[in-house]
Amino acid sequence: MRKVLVPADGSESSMRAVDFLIKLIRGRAVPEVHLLNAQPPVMSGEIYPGVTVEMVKRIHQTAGEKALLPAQTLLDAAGIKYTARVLLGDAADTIASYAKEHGCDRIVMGTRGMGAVRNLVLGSVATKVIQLVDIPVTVRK
Amino acid sequence: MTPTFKVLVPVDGSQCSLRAIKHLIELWDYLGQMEVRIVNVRPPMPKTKSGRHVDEQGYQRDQAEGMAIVRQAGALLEKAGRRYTPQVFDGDPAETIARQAKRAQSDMIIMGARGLGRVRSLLLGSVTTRVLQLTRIPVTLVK
Repeated sequence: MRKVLVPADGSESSMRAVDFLIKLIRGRAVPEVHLLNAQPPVMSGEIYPGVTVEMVKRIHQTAGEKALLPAQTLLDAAGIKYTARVLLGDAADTIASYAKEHGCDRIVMGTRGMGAVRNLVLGSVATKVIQLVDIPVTVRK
Repeated sequence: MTPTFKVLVPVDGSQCSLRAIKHLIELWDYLGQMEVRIVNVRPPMPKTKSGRHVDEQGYQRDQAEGMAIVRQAGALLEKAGRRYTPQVFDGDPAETIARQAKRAQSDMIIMGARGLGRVRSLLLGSVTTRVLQLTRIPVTLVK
């Protein structure tokens, strides 16, 4: 658990995952914590005269930063250092490629995010992340 | 002092479940004090009306087999200088894992994403899927 990736979208499930991560960090070694929020990529329908791709990206970026705030508040209160990033793209793909690029050796995430179907054991994002990565994934309901 | 962190590790002798143990060893420095139970669940064997096993010898053999699977996984922990509690249970694997984790007030379950004899194309084994369904305790899935 040198580097832990924590995808956060502000959902209750993802907040419980952050809570659990805080509970996990209690020994003499402290992992590097990476908070990540994935926002949908810019769609062609969002662009029209006077609205540039850059402007839409900025709107998505702001929405992502807002979604990360509750998780940051929890980690700050626990005195745990972290880096926080917002990236645009499919949530599971973004989480998996971020983990690979940054050499994360563990993911701690909620089982379901915003607007997930209730009767699934795992939300679609968690399911796809587990499919895409080889590192251990801790899921918190 | 922080309370001991309790971990339940169900094993079935598969490569996945041995990797779960290796992962647990890596976690130790981050989690500090840990209490580990390694469990194997045996599917129930037929019993007579009076509650005895129809094949008592077969039952004993099966239990010993379960304990051997637990010890094989536990040997990895012992090699790393860590202690654990070995346990063998009878019953439906997923239900028993979920029940025992609750009873032991486990803080986390660490298990292989897939076990033995599962359909390889499945992302998660049937026992793992069912455990996720039955428990509210965080589960770490190890591939």
